[in-house]
Amino acid sequence: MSEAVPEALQIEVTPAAGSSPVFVILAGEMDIVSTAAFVDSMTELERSSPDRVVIDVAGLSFIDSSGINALVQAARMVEARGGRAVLAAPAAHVLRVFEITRVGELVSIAGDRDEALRLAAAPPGPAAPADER
Amino acid sequence: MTAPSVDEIPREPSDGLDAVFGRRASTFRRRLAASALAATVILVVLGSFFAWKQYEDGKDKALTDMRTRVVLGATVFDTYFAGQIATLNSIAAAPSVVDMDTKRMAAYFKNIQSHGQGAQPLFTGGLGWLDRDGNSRVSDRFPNGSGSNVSDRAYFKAVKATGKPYISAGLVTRIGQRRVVIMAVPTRDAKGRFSGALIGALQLRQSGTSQRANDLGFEDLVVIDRAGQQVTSGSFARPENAGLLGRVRKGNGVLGDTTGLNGDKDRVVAYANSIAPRWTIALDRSRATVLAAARRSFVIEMISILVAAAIVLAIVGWAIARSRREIAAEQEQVRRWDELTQSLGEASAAAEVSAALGSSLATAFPRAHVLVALQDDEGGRFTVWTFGGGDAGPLDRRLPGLPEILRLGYLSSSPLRITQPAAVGTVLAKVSKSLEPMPGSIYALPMHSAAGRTIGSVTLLLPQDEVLHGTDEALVAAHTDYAARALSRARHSEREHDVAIALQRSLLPDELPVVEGLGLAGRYNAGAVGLEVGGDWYDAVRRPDGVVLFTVGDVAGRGVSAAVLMGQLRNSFRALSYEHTSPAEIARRLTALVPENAMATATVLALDPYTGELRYTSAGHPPSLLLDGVSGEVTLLDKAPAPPLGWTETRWIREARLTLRSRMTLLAYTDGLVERRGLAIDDGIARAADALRLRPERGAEDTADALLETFVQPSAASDDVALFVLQLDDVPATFQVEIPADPLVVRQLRARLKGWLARRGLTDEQTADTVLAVSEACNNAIEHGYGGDHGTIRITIEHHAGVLRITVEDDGTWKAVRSDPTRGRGMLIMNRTMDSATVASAPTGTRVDLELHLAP
Repeated sequence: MSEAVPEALQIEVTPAAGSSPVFVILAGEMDIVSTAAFVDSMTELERSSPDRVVIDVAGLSFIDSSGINALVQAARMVEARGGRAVLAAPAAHVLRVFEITRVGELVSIAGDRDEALRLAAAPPGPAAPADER
Repeated sequence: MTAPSVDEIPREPSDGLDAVFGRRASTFRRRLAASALAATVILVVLGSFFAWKQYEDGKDKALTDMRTRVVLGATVFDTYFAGQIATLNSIAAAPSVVDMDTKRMAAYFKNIQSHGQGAQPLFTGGLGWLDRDGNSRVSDRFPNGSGSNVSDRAYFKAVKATGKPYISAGLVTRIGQRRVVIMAVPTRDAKGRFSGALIGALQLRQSGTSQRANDLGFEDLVVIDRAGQQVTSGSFARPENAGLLGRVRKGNGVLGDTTGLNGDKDRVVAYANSIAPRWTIALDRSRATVLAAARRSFVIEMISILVAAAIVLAIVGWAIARSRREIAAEQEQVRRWDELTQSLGEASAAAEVSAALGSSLATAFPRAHVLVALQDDEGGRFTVWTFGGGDAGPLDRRLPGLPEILRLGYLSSSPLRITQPAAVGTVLAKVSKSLEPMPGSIYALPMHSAAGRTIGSVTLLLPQDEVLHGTDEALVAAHTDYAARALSRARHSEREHDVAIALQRSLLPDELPVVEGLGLAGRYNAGAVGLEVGGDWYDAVRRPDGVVLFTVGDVAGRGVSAAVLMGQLRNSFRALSYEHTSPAEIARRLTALVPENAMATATVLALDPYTGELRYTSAGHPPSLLLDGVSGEVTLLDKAPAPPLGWTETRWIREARLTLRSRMTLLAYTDGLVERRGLAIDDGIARAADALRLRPERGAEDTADALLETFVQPSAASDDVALFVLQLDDVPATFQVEIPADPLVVRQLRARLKGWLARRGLTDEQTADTVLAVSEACNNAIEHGYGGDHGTIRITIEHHAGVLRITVEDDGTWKAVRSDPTRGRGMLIMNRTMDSATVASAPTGTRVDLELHLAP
């Protein structure tokens, strides 16, 4: 397949690095390929170490286990240094994947951005241990 | 592929055939007749000319003759008178005359007169002496003188006055009243004094009476004296034509066409003048008399010439008439020959050659049975054809015994003629029941190929009263020979064409891929036999990922180069179709293959049978047709046009997309299908659309056959045609693809899978779960099976009886990263989204089986 494949995942970080809270807005497909870009973006964001990060997944049309992994790892990275990360506004099919993979046990999930901001202001949680087989 | 076209078939008969048909002979005869005619005309003209010249010469001669005669006559008169004057002078010197002694003179005169020529006296009118006073003193008839005095006469006066001799005009004597001419000389006494005149008279007779004069050619002699009197007429009458008299008084000459001395018309007058008597001698004759001889000979000559010419013309006319009949017969033969050559020229098989030969001979010999036997190409089996037979019709070609009869000619090295009734009966014994009436003779001859091999025979069974003449035999031989040559050529052409077709077919797909939910049919029609093979092609490839790529194209031109380029393009299409799913991308690469001096048109289409998505491009190719079997609507796929391959720039090649539904039929074709002489190509496309519309319910194969049948006339010298029909049945129940272990491809696969599942009627949630599970299984294969290396993933999804059964296989060795805490989520997803999920690993690969029950 030599055809040019459009970027499957669009990543928008707002506002600019240095402020807090930071919104990471994801749209498109989060699969084994496109997660790399997300990981890069998050690594870049960590340099400014924002204490509150809201990852908006409302625009995701698809997410698979690699996407889940990337989201979980990003959230843990933020929280490992004492910050707060919240996944915000998943669509039904994304939420279903979150539920299947019990992401909620590892990362806070908010129904919308407002809730996400509230959760981000709260102390780190949920504190339940990750389901790691 | 150099099969001769129809035009190249030799039309000129050989020299032998020319001789047979006598074209040259008839031409020669025609020319001969024309030459004879021309020669005759020239002969008549020349003969007439010379006859006329001769006639003119004859006229001149006759005139000259007349002139000669009068000149001669004049000279005779001169001589006569000179002689007579001289005689008178000598008499005047005689002593008796000098002494004027009349008695002695009388005796002397009498003596002289008696010494004339024969019975004639010297002076026919008499001889006498006049004294100085003009008294007649003595004469031969009157010794003492006549007693008359002539002193008043002109001749006496002239002699007395001049003392010289004198010849009078014609006059009448006073004594005796005789018509005479007087010659007078003076006499002198001893002292030389004038003593009187001695006169001699010439008695005149009417001319034309003397037989002797007539014998000498002096009939119609006219003598005119110095006074203008005609001394030859009884009354000294003067000519009535005074004008002519004036003209003839001097010199000599001939007047060929004039009014005569007596005023008669159409006279010839020859004249001369005698000096001494000053007389004019003339011949005055009618022209008819003078020219009679010349005219007579001219008429005789002309009659001879015309009779000769008439004879020659009659002979020539007969020859021409005969030649014309022969030419008509020859033209009939030539016409038959042309018919034969024409039908043989079109022949491309033994059957056609034999049919042409047989029907031609049957036409020439309508009552004969014509039997043709031909060996097949390998020199083995015979095939027999029968023709003619008159009213009874041809014999049954399967009649037992026929082959034995046909073998006669085959085994004979030269034409064979059987006329003996017994022999004919023996030969035809086995078939005699079918022959009524019994033929009278058999004529059989072998057919030889150009190489001299015997390839068949021709046999004629002729009726009792029909005999083959020499030209007939030559006709049969020539037709047979030509047919044999045509057969050799036809077989050669057939072989060539067969090779070309075989090459073409070898370059076309043996079989099309079998794709669930699709009917595919391709057709290639090579056009008329004898034409070179063209460069049309079609092909279809089912990619491992399930996408079907197909193409129809047409390399401009014919023959090997076109076929070779066609092969290259087709092979390249096959190769490219494994690398690219984009028709435009494939077309862009194909155009680079077409050399500068060549051109090809092609349409390339890609159909995903699972999603129904069609992508297409056209490089100078007629638009494909899409029939919606439900609505009956036909759409032209003309949204992505580009110039032909080899001419277009790659950037001009675009592709268009649309989504097909079940019960749609797509037709791609080459222009041979829709191009007809006298028919616009748009009309042809419209006709094809109509034909397509008529058969929405038929399968792709039937549709393709029907289209070929409708649009391609097998006999016409049509262009070759390639066509490809694709028909969409129900959405396939099985999704079966093989893709590279490439995450990007898996991403595309998700979209395709989603489309298929939706078309299969799954709910959004079921669709999303299945897509997710398959994606996870693929991720597994990519990460664990190949560890990032290139490999292949095979995905099979069966939708049957409300259950989805999914198999995802790879050939990689399982690289279990058991320590990876995140990988477990993939397995978890598969387990939770599917009703069952199992992973089976083996050294040769891993297989994931998933199952989803759809029923509520």
